[in-house]
Amino acid sequence: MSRRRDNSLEMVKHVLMAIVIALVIYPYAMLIILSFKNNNQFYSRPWVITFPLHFGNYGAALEALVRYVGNSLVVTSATCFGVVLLSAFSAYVFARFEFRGKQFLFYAIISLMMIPGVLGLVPRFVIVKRLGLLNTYWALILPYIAAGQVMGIFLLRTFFESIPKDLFDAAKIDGAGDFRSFSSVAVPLCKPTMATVAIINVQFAWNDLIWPLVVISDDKLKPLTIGLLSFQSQFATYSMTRWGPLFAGYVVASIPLVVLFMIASRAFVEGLTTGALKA
Amino acid sequence: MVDPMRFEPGQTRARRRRVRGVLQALRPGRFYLYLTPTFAFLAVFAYYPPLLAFYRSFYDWDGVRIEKWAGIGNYVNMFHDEVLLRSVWNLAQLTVFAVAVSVVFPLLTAELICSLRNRRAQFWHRVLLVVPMVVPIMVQLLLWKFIYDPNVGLLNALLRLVRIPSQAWLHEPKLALYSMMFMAFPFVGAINVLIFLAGLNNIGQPVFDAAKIDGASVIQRFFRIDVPLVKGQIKLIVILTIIGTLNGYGTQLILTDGGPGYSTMVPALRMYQQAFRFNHLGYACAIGMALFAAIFGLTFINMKLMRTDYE
Amino acid sequence: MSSEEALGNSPAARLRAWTPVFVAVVAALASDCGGDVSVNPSIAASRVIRMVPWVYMPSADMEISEENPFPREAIRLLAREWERLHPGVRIEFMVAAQEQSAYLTWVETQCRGGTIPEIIFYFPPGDKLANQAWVLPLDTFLEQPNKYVPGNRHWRDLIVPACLAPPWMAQDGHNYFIPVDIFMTSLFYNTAILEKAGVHLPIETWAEFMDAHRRIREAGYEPFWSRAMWSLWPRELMGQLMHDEPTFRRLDVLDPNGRIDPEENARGAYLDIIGIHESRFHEYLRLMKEWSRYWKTGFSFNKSPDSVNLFRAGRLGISWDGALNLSDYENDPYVTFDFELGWFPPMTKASSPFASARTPERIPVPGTCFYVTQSAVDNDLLEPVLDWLMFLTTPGNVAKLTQEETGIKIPPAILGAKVDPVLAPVLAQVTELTGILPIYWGLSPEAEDNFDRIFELYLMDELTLEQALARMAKWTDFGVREAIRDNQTLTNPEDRWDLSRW
Repeated sequence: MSRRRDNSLEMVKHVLMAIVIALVIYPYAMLIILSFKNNNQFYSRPWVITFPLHFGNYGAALEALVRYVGNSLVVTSATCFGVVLLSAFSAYVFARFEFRGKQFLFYAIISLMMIPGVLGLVPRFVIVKRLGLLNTYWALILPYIAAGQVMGIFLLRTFFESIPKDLFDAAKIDGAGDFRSFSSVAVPLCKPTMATVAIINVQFAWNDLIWPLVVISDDKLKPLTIGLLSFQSQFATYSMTRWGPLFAGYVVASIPLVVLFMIASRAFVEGLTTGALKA
Repeated sequence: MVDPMRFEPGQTRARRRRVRGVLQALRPGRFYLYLTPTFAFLAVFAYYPPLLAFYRSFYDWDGVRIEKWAGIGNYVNMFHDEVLLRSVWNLAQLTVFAVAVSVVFPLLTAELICSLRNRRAQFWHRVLLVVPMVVPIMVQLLLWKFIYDPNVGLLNALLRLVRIPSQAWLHEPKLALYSMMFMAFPFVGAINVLIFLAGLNNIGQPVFDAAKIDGASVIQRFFRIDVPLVKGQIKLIVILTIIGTLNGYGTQLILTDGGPGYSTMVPALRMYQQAFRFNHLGYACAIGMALFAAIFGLTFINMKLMRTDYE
Repeated sequence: MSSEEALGNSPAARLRAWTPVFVAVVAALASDCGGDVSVNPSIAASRVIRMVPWVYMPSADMEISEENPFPREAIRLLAREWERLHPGVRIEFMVAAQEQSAYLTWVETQCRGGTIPEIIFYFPPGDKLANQAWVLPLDTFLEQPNKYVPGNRHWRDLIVPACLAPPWMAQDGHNYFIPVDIFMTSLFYNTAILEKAGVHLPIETWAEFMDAHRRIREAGYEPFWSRAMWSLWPRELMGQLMHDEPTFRRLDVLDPNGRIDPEENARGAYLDIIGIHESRFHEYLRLMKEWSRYWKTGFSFNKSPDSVNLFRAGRLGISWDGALNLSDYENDPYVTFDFELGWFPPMTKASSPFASARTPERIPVPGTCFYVTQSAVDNDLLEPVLDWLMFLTTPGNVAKLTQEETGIKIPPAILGAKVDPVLAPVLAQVTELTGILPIYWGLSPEAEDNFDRIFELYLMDELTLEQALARMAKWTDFGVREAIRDNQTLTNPEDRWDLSRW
């Protein structure tokens, strides 16, 4: 009897979840629906699927955007790699060891999260220019790593601290040094959080608009977001935007990310289920 | 970077002892060395720009021509700036709302996912939650703009079905701020849900089972076990939400420019305008510093109020 | 003992992964100490003029399709032609962000960093860039002959005079841009809606115009909207409808030339000759409020540029928009209704005691404006940059640019340029802005911004007339102070106003 009640409860949960997911997924679904419209369909009946579907929008988008995808991949993966590596190690140092000024240094890092972004835009641009990095991938990657590790350290430290000390003590007795216990104890346990940090940074680096706009003007190096901008101006005049091709462009731009997130989510789930995290 | 505690083959015992002695003395110092790469990055790209801004906040500065020491003049001016004071009130409302919904909804969603018996379903819900993260903010804002459009928008179309008169939403001074609050609907940001999920998974099945054996109802379990145990995650999300809301201005910039009138104006947008439109860079820096101080203060209070014992 | 030997294999591998990061940081820090690398050497070596052509950006694809209805390449072809005359110099076109705040942020950072292209588009009159000396005053060059036009003595003579007249001079009184097209506005009447509402064209007076709005609303359509109701457009229009000769004469005194230049405007506000305490201004507020009852439902000044789309969808009775929308509408297979161009009727005493009863003139406004930036001087490209702009602004070449077969037709800012017949009705009544008293001019960006917001709140019944006036007065004082201060700190003493004459 209780089993049957359990089953109906389970059904309710599934329905609830389905509603939540539907609401969450909705913007992405809208994006796809809109990407098949011409302007007339767009203005007269934006919220439903209209026929004929304008596949031409995708042709135009693909043609214009393919060459920017590579740039975004390079920048995003380098950023991601740098952020995860640096912030995991620093967070580990903060979580595991005691040394003078540790609290101060930690707060010095996380207080950076609290500084409004606009404040540093112009000086940061001038620095990147003086370093001679304008129109290089580095102009994007290095500041992204600097910005990303703040959040990364903050998140990862909390999780490193929740790992029982015994695990590290055991490793130490086995003769493992700082690096060894980092790489063989801390990292495997914190894969899920590292995946979270990675996801946050991928999303950030992939979608950032203003900074690449400011530091990259060479068409060969442009990431997708500003590629999309030039794509947009190709379809916009003073007053009107051709929304269909533009939205198709956004869909094209998001495909690598969707794939990546699917894979990352798998790693994430695996990390969770392999379990040593259970306190 | 060399680990003095490691056992290194191929060295004589005496030499190893000597090396170890030297490194032993340096031992506490190695932690600073470990942190050097992080701080090297931060110094160049993260510390220098705001420090410069802090210095500039004491100047009457237009960026090029006018450059005059102003002492705390910029900070004093903030208290006489009606627009800024109005924007602080807007921000307070936005922040309280954002903090409340970004804890409650993701936590409930995480509970829901966590409680599903079907592992596959758990997995897929998580994946699907993450998918909309790939939609750039620009596009999400654009979609909301169409939803709220007074003339052709989805929301008004739905309201007409139930015979409620059309509203101007973002273009209506009394509704604009609330419309903006609801733009995050249904408030289940993937990252927040994932953070809570990780927290709930930390609790572990034995605790749940124990609660079940004790005969605790779901609601009792939620408040007595889950909430206290994910306090750390709640703290984290509250802090992140406060930071995000206080520093955010993109939504306002793209959708309303702080209007109509001042109804959606927030301090960060005013700072952007002061810097990029009005050429009052010194004043903009001062607003930025005040925002930083406010966030810092709120974070500090949050840390104190929500002490987590299990850390 | 190398560190690699000292370490076990696995950490060493991990360390190696760090190496590029370290190297990058060290290299970055080192080059920071190495001094200023201000000019990108590749630019200096091959002499490239970088230009933001804005709407004239060449399309990637010249094939007309529904996705790509107005492709352009004229500017690229003109550039090739010019390059053949000037071996060793190349013109490179740069895509700009169409989203305005993104573009402005880009311009600002590039100017501050000294990496701004030599020629950029910017919104006129460009006070902001001019005040910072990021762009160059072009008056002296405008006095020189355009060598590509035989017999031309002053480049300035080729340009529609209204574009160089006072409202479009920067605060220091100089001209900072070369316009290639003008922004002409027009009323677009949806005649199908007018017919259903029982409105007959032509509309003769402002009172009839208001009545037409009422009828359109009653017929179930949105009567009126324009995407620039916050801008200079309605102020200029009202300035014409409510012209006040005595006030005008009290303002046009420092340089009595039939126009109010920036200094006279600031003086007028300072002495309270124009402005918020005046009954004429109160009447302006009343008239605008009356009109705003018929603006589209849920209007607001900012971020509400839906007039084009509403009109295109056949929901808007009267749209006030740029004339360049004309070829867009004509080309749109989905615009199935008939529409007609029109212009505002005069205002009679029946509507307001301040009515001028004069038929308002269509005032051209500079459209696509090219500014020459400091980069042209820094990169030693000033001479070819001006040469290229002269080449571009010959009547023949401007016609090729603005009337390009496949593109949207835009009225040219160069006199004698041949235009497409589609533009004839718009260009018929073009006159210069003279003798017009604007209702209120921005004195400083911050004052202007707040003024607009208060005005908006007043129209939306959020503020009473008294409240609105009190706040506007505050911001006018602020604006006057800022305008004077900005002017008095100009680098060139000759540009500073002589306040003793006020």
